[in-house]
Amino acid sequence: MTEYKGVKGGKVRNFDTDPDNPYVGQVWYNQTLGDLRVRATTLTSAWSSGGNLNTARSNTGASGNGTQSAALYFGGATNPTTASALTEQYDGTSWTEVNDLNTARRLTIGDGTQTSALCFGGFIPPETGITESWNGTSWTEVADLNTARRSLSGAGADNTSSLAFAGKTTVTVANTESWNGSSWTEVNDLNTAREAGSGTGIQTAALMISGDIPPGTAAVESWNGTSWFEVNDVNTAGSGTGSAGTQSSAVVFGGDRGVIVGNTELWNGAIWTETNDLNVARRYLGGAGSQTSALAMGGQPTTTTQTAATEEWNANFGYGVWVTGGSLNTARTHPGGTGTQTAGLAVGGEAPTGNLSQTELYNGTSWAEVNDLNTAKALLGATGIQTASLAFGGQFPGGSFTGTTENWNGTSWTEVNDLNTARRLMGSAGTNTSALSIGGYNFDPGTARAQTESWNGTSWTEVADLNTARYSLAGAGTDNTAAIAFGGISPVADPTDQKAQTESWNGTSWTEVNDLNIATQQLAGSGNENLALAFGGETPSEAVTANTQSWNGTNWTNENNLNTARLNLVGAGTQSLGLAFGGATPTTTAATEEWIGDGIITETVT
Amino acid sequence: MAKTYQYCVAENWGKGFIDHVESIKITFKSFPGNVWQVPAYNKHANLWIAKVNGTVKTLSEAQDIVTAEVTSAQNAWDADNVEGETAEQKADRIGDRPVDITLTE
Repeated sequence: MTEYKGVKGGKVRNFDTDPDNPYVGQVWYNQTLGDLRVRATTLTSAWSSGGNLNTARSNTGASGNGTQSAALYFGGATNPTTASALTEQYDGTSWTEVNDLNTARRLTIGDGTQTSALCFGGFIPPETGITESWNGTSWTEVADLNTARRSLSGAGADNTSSLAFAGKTTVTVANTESWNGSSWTEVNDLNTAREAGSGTGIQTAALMISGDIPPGTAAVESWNGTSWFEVNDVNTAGSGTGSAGTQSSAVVFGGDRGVIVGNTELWNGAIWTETNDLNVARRYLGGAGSQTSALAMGGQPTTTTQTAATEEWNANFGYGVWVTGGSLNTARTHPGGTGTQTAGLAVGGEAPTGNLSQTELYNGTSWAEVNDLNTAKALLGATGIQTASLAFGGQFPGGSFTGTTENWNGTSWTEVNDLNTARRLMGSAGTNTSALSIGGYNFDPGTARAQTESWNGTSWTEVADLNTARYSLAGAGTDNTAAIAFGGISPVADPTDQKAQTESWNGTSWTEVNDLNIATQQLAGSGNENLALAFGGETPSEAVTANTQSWNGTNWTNENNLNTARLNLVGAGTQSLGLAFGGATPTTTAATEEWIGDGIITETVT
Repeated sequence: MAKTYQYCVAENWGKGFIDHVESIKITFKSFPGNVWQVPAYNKHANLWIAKVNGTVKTLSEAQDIVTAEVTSAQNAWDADNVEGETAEQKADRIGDRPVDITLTE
């Protein structure tokens, strides 16, 4: 039998409890649990949409040594036969047109950076050796290639040092030429002539990846500054790929492998490994950046169309997951909840037996009962931290609405001034000295409210209304001057009118900002106005949902689901370290879940 | 028979249209006419369609959109001729004739 020590060179260490700060990959034995444990991560790599090019095109040059947030894309074909002189530059968000090439061309190539690039060769028609140098502002014609050609490849750090290789004159060629800032010099040929491959690296250390001999080849060659030598093939032969990176660490993507594909492969200096595909399959696209942070732009998704799509490749990022925490002692729906992931507070709520006054505190592992509210109630709001909280509004046993407010000092609850308008199912945000009660529902006659009340530590004051009246919404915010409100439902007469609206509070008024990705009511939230999390609830298509969405101050992003779908739950903590507890599945639950935003978790090896 | 894919029409607005996590969880395929193929009966795919305000299309509806786009491209290709040019020269000049695309359910 293989022993862990034989594989890893060391024994697994025993611990009474999980170690405090294990590193990712660390394995240990938890003697208390009797389990082998590991520090694991959700690290993964993927493409996502970037800003679209202003003009869709393919067969262009690109600043291969640019970065994901500073790239240049020039020339190319706007349709199968029309050469372009357009130049666009990317800032990590959007493309901007800058000065054109002097000579429009397609089937061209380039390298360098956004501020120092070179464009050489291509097809005007006919094949050309024209070289242009980019200084960050404009293109200047410099010395031509010795061999005019199209569909060539290139590698280079900037406009003073570059390598041009492969391509097609009337036949595919193996020619390699080296640029010293003023002229091209012929150097040693590739071992295999080809066109429409991709090149990456710099003048003294480059990579020639696949291409069309014809047929399409998987052959890869590496340049050591003097000559080319064959290295391991890519996994699938093809041409028209894009690439980024260096001679020893590259990524190749897209291409034509009999069909147009989005395949992505990673090179570690020795072998190619397949990884996650482009979202938009295409050939003859541009590439820039590094193996871990690359950009794919333009290209042909079909044989006769060009795309403006840009995609950004990010390697080894973690994405959030929910893990189970200790359950509440008393299962409940509609509690108030606040605090942090390791110091949470649950107060009141509704159990099958009726409204609750119980308060429980979470320490990151388990809940403990402490002193009760003075008056049992559910559907209330709560703000603050575990040792200084505010619980307000809600519904008393029997169904009457209340504006009563209680203050928690870490030990006991004390009644303070009431809300001006009794209500239930409102959103809440802030602390126990600076809070907001947002929207909600009251008799008058059974109406969703737009009213907002602001707590200054002593009393509630009515301030500006929400733009959209609603209840069963969620809120997140720092204090009574900065918050967001999201989701909810209204009017009462239409139980399917879940809201996706998000509104932002600046201390004076509410402004509509970007909606939730899916309309949700009876949801929970955590975080603040800039970084928030929305989870659980009810959507138009799901009576009980596990959906989770994160807010970055501008947009909502879909995240991993709760493990237990539920509504009428409550949340605490931050966007990266959230806490979800209680709710209905639809049966009343005591389940607690912890959100690990960076995806680094401790789990049992099974 | 249960569907493998579903289709929607959504215009790629750029940044944020498909984010990293969606890219991991969903296998996307794009077609002419802003037609997107994503897995059927897939919650992540459904959420993405909702996020991008995609208009869900039946297989037949999606096929019609794609076919119209391809036919238009084929007609343009057929009309683009240079006197005396061979088929090989034409393909070298403007690429191969667009092929028909058949969507699957």
